Amino acid sequence: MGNIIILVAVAVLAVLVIAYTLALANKPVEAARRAGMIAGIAAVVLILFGLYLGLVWAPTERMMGDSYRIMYIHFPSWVGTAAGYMVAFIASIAYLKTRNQGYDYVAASAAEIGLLFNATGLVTGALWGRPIWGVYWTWDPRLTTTAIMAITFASYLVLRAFIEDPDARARVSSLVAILGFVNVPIVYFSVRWWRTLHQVQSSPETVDSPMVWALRTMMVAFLCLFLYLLINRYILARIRGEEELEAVRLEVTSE
Amino acid sequence: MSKGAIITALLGLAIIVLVFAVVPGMRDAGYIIRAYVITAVILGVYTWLLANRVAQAEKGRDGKQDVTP
Repeated sequence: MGNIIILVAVAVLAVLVIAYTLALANKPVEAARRAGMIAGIAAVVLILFGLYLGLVWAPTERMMGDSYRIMYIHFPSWVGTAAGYMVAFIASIAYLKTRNQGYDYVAASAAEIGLLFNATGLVTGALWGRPIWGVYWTWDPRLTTTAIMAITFASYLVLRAFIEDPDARARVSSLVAILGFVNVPIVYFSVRWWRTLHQVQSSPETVDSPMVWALRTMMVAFLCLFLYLLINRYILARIRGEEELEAVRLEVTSE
Repeated sequence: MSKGAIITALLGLAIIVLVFAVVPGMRDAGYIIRAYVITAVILGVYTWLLANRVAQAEKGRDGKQDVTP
């Protein structure tokens, strides 16, 4: 019962973080900056506390030894990745529906932060795989779908750099983000659909309590870090976007 | 250098010091240290660069506002 309550609390927190990031499109920059500062301070405190729990307090795992401790940054990296791609997906739909440029800034920022966590997830996964599986990389369905996900969102960012017209860029990249997100549930369920090398998701009932608490702390810490980075990246995208729109306006006026 | 960038650099340093103080006695310590240090470097460098880019963009915007009548 206690585990279900905590799971629901973490899920509610994740939904709130995602809802807040989407609301950024209609928020003044000053309010976003304050929220970003709070999220940043929370991330610093929770990361240091979570690392103490994961590296010192949590016991050694019976089968994997200490190498399982990579989990405390590996799994939270995927939480940041999923949050980033989900925000990019919802903000892209919101942009296509409303044509509010703010949603495009949110989508582009979220995709970049999602890709950042995707990279740390892949690196930590490879470094965990070597002592446990004997290889850094194998074409297991989970790893392959994850690599495809990273390539898709990297292409999304490259595509944005190649389209000059802000409206066309927002329209085309929204479609790419929506199509790219289709892979995210496939990544999640791949370990259940194709039983190969990567283990299925663990349940808190089968894991020692200190390990679960360390993992939960790091998950919340990475969500706070995600929020901090996203808000700052959004502020940057908004300043650049406003400058770009101003330049287009001046060009039209001079013609 | 912005305040955010300094805090990021200090946090990254604190994580690396903690990892090097605690992990070396463990089995497979090399992999654990590499995973934590590489993650700290990737996230730290990105956060540091982002903080500087935001500070520069805001400075540029404020500069433009000052000259606009």
